[in-house]
Order: sequence, then C-alpha cells, then structure tokens
Amino acid sequence: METPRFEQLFDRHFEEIYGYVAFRIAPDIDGAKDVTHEVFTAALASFLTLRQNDSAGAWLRGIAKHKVADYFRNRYAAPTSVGDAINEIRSHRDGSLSAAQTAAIQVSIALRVLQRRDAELLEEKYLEGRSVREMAESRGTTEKAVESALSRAREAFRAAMSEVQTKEGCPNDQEPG
Amino acid sequence: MTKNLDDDFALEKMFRDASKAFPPPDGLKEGMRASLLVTKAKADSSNVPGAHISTATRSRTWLWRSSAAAACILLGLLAVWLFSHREEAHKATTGTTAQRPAVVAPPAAPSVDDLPPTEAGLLRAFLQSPQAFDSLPKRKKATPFRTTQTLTDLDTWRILETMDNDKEKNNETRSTGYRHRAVA
Repeated sequence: METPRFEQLFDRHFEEIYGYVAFRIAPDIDGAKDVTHEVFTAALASFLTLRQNDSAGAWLRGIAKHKVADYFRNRYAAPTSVGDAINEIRSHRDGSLSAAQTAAIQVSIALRVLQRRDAELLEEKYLEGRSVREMAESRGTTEKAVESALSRAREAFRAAMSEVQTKEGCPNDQEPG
Repeated sequence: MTKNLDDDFALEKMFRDASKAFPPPDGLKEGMRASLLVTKAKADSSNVPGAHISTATRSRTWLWRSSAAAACILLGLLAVWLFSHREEAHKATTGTTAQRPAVVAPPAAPSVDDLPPTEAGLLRAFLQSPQAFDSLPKRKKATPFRTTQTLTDLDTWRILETMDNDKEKNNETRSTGYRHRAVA
C-alpha cells in the first residue's frame, strides 16, 4: 500500500475529522474550525512519520482526540458539570440548530462530563466501530476487562444523558420541580 | 431517548449521527486546504539538512565561529611575535638583556697536577723515560692454587692440620669456659 500524499489524506478525511471535532466541542463552530486546522497542521508536521501500513484515518482521529482534549483543557480549569456545559452551549446557540444538531450537542455534553477514560471507550466502540478485541489489544488488557469498563461507561453515559435532557428542557438551568 | 442506551446498535447510531450533525461550512475545506498547502510548500522548500535552523541562529553560529577563528589566529601571531622578540621583551620588562643559560663545558682532561705528589712524580718520570722502569723488579705472579688432584698426602695433611688448629683457636676465643671444662 502506497503512502497517500498529504493532499489526498486531507481530501479523504476532512469531513470526518471536522464532523468529529464539531460534534465534540459543539456548538462552538469557530472553535471547531480552529481545532480542525490544528489537527491537519499537526498531521502535516508529522506526516513523514506515518508508515505505509498505518491507517491514516485512525492516525488522524488520534490527533483530533488530543486536540479536542487540549481545547477543553485550555477552556476549563475545573471539571465540567452538566449545568456548566449547558450554559456554555446556550451562550453559543443562535436558535438555528436542527433536531439532529441538538441531539448531537446532548451527546457531546454527556461525553464532556464523563471521565475521559469512559468517553474514549465509548468513542472507540460506537464512533470508530472498533471491536472489543481490538480495544483490549491496544490497552494491553483482556476482553473481559474491556467489556466491564464499557458497561460502566455506558451506565455513566446513560446517567449523564438523562441529566442533560432534563436540564436542557429547563430554561435558565432550573432544576425540575 | 435514554431507554435504548443499553443497545449497542442504538448507541452506535447515536454517535454516528452526532458526528455527522455538523457539516463543514461552505468554503472551509477549500480555504483550509489552500492554507495547509502553503505551509507544506514552505516546509518542502526548506526540506534540506539544517534548513529548519532560523536565519538568526545561523548568523549567531557564523559569528561565533568566525570570532573563534580570529581569536586563534591572533593568539598564534602573538605567540610568534613573542618568540621572535623574547630578548627585547625581557629587556623591556626587566631592564636587562636576557641571559642565555651558560653552556656547561665538558670536563677537562685529567692532568698530572691533579694527582698526589708521589704519584705525579712517578708518572712524570715514566712519561720522560719509560725504559727506566723496565729495570724495576717485576711483581711476582701469585702462585696458582693447586687443585686437589695435584695435592700430595703431605699437603692434605698440612691443610687439615692448619684447619683444625684454626678451629681450636676459634673455639677457645668464643667459649673459653667450655674449653676448660672439656680439658678437665
């Protein structure tokens, strides 16, 4: 397999990377543009390290994950709560979001308040479509351990989604009575 | 919405939909592509060994190297000048001409006068008329010691007798009391 040229890599994976970044830091569209640019700039700087047999998509997603983590690390000094995340989203929201985008933002908030380890597990499993075996091999652990961790991550995600949907339905972040 | 979150397929669909919910704005891809290609062209044009070093760094490096080379040359010239003018420099600093170390003369040949008077007189006489010394009685050669094969019985007896006498004399001098008790 020949190593693709950088232009080909960009053309092939731009939408995927931008979509992932925008979803993770939604609804900060300007931030999504900047982070996406940072992802491809970093990829360009280390493009020669990409080996022939490496998956360019996985390589770019790895860079994007780190850049998204840097984005949140720079913006939030303290751990994010659901209320903080919703208020942040409301400050960006211009009222033109589609139903799909609203749902995506809810998922994004739920991931944002999860522990990073749980969020990474869910992303790998449900966004990148990796198998439990692959995840276990990359972590140097057993499939049973990954299954257990995934189960805990799903539970945490479900609780976070429930909280997000409840608070999203309450204007001004009022707790439901 | 949360009721299906334990279902892998529902979760997968939720995540996939979410990642496609925000398509890139128009023109973003083209603008970012052009920007990245400019960055890439700059990187390619400087893709030679050491090309990543900034001009300021190069200037500083060149300055350091040239300064070091000039200093070495100046030190060398100073050393040559000092070596060639060392006497003048010594005179300028001390007011006297530098004294070269005295050459150590080889030891003089032995003279007859260095000998004690008696030996000197004999040597002079010998140098004046060596033939006069031929008439002097020659020193007898030492009698070679005879080996045991040539010793006669009488010689052997005499030698043994002499050795016994010497041994007795030694014993007397070392332990006279013991000798007296033995005689008694």
